[in-house]
Amino acid sequence: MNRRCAIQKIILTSGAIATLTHCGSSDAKFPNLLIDRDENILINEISKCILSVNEKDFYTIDSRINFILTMINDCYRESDISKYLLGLEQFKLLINQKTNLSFEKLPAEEKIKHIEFSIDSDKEVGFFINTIKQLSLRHFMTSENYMKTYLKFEFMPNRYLGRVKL
Amino acid sequence: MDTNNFDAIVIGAGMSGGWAAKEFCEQGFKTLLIERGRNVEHLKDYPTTKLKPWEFKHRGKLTAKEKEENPIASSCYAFYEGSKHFFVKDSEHEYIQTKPFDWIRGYQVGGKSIMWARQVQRWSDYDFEGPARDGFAVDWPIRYKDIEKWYAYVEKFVGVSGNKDRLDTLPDGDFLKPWESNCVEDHFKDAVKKNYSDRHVIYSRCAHLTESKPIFIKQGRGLCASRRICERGCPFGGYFNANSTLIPWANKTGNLSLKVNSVVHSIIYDENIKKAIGVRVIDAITKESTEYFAKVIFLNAATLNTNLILLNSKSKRFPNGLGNDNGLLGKYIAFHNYRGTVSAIHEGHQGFTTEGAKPTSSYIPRFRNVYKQETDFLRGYAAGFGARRMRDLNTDGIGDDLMNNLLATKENGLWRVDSHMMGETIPKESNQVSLDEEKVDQWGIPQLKVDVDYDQNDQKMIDDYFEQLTEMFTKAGFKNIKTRDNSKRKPGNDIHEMGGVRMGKNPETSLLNKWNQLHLCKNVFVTDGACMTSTSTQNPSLTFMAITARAANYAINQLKKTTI
Repeated sequence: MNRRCAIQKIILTSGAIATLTHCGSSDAKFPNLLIDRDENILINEISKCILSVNEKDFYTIDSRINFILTMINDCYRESDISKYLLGLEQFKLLINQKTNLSFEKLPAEEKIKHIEFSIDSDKEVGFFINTIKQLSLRHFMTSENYMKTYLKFEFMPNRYLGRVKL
Repeated sequence: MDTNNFDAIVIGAGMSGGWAAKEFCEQGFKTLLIERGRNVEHLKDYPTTKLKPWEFKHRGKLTAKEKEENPIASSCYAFYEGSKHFFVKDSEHEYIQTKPFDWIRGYQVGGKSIMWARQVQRWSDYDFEGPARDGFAVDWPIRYKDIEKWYAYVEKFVGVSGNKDRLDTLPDGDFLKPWESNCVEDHFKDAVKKNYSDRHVIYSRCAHLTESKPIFIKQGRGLCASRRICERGCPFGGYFNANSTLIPWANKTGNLSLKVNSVVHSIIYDENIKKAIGVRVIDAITKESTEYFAKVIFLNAATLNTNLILLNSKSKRFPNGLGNDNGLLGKYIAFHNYRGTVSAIHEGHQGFTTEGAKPTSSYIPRFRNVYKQETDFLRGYAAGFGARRMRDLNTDGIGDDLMNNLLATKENGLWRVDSHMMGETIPKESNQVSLDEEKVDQWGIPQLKVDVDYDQNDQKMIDDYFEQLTEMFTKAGFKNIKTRDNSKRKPGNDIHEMGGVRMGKNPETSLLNKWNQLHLCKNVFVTDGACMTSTSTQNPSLTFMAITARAANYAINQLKKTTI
C-alpha cells in the first residue's frame, strides 16, 4: 500500500463518514505525492482562490500548479508531505460534509469561506492550505514582472547608489 | 622531458596552487598542476551563471534529498540550487568528526575560489606579532615588511576595490575605486567615529574589478556588474577566481600541464638524497596509481587535505608523516569564530533608499586587545556591517486582499542593519587532525579524523562582541537590537580552517621555515592555509596568495641557483 492509500485509510478508520477518492491513477511527475487528476485540479483551484493572478501580466515559465507540486514533491521532507496529504484529505472531507458540490463548482464566496476557515486550523488542513499559499506566493513573487516592477530586481545593476532621495 | 618529470609539481589548483603554478610557468619552469577534482573552465563551465531567479526549477532551493544527503555541504550559506555543483557532496569524500566539524570543500580546478566571499584585508604586524606578544602558538618567522610587497604584487593582479583608510591595524594597498557606501552605513560610521577613537567602520575591501587596467584586459576580464551571484562563476571575470586568471595565465606560457581527477596519495621521499622526488597519484575515476617527479613540490591542497597528504607521506625516515619529527604535524588547527550576529532596526533616513547592488559591505577592523591586553580573553574580532532598506511586504489575507497587499509593496519599510563577528581562535595542540587507522576513503587513503572545537576564549569573545556591538548600535540610535549566538554553527563552517603545518623559527616547534619550506625536507613547500601559525581576524585568502607568491619566487631563485 502506498503512502497515499495509507493516509486515506487513516482518515476512514478515524470515524469519518465520507466518500473519498480511491487510490486512483496519479501523476507520475510527482512520485512522492501521488496526486490524482481531481486532486491536482482541487489544489490548483485553491491556489487560484488564494491568489488570483492575471497570467498575462505576470507570466511565468512554469504553471503555478506545476511549481507547487514540484516544490512539495522535491523539496519537502517525507513527514511534511504526509502532513500535506493528510491535510488534503481533511479538506476534501470538509467540503464533502458541507456541500454536495465539488469545490470547483462552489460559488467564489463559498470557496473563500472554506479556505479562510481551514487556513487558521492547527490541524493538518491548516498546514495544507498554508503550504499552498506560501508556494503560490513564491511562484508569483519570483515572476519576472513582479521581481522587476515591485521588488526592483535587476539582474545586472552595474551600479550602486547609496543615498537616493524618495 | 619525460612525460612524468617536471621542474615543479603543484598539488591543488585552487587559489594558492594557482599562484604557485603561475609563478613557475611565467618564469619558464615546466610545471605539473595536480587537481583531485574535475576541470572547470572559465565561461564554459558556469552552467547557472546566466539564469534568472525565475528560471530555477526550485527557485534556488535545495531538494529534501540533497539536504538530507549533504548535511555538511548544505550547512554552507553558498550551497544552493545555483551553486551546488561546485561543492563536494558529503558522500564523495568521507571524514571522521571526532567533534562536530563542517568541512566545506570544492574539488575542481579553481577550488573554492569560485565560491569564496572575495573579502581581502591585509594583515599588519599586530597580527604577525600576536602569538609572540600574547604567548600562544609560536612566533611567526615573518613580519609585515616581509610580505608587504607580495600583498601589492597579488593585489595588482587580482584587482582589489577599496579605500585608503590609513589604519595601522589594516594596511592599505593599491586599490581600485570602491562602491558607494549607503547613507545608513555612513551614519553608523560617523556615530562610531564620534564615540570611539579606536574603532572604525570602513569599506570592506573586495576582489572585484571596478576599474579597467591593462593587466585585467590581458587576463580577459571585464568590470564587475554587481550581480551578486559570484558563487555561480562570473562571465565577465568581474571578481577574482583562479579559473579566469591564474590558470589560463599559466597555461598561456606553454609550461603548464594540468592533470585533473588526480588524487594525491603521498609525497615520495628519497632517503638517499634526503629530498622529496615526486608524488604518488591515484586516478579519481580508474583508481590507477601513477608517480610524477619534480625538483620542487608545492603543497596547496587546502588546509586539511594538505595535512592529510603530509601525514600520509610516510617513509622509513619519516614514519609519522613527512617532516614530522616533532610530532606537531596536524596539530594547532585554528579557524574563525563566526557564531555571533547582531541585528537592529534604524528608524531614521526614511527619505532615502538605495538603487542597484554592490558585492561588499562595511568592515569594522579588530579593536579589542590591539595595543595592549584589555579584556579577559585573548585577541579579538573584526565585524562585518551592512544596512539595507526593507520592503514593506504584506502577505496577509487571501484573494483580492492578498493581491492588493502584494501590489502595494512599492513603499519602503524601515532600514535593517546587521553585523557578524569574525573572531580569532587560538591555535591549540588539542585542536588537531590525524589519520584514522582503519577507515579509508574510496581511493584507499586513510580518512581524516578532525578533532577541533571552540573553547572558553571563543565564548568570552562572543559575549564581548554582543556587548560592544550593542553599545555601538545604541550610540548610533538603532532600535530593537537583537543578538544571536548561532551555537549550532560548527567549527569549519566559516571555511577558514588553518594550521597543522605551521610556520616558525624553530624546527622543534614548527614544521615550516620563513620561506614555507618543510624544515626537514627543503624542496617541499606548504603555502595554503595549513602554513598559518595563527589566524588573526581577516579573511585569509589574500594572505595565502601573498605567502604563495613570495615562497614560489624564493623557490624559483633557488632552482635557478640549483641549490634546491
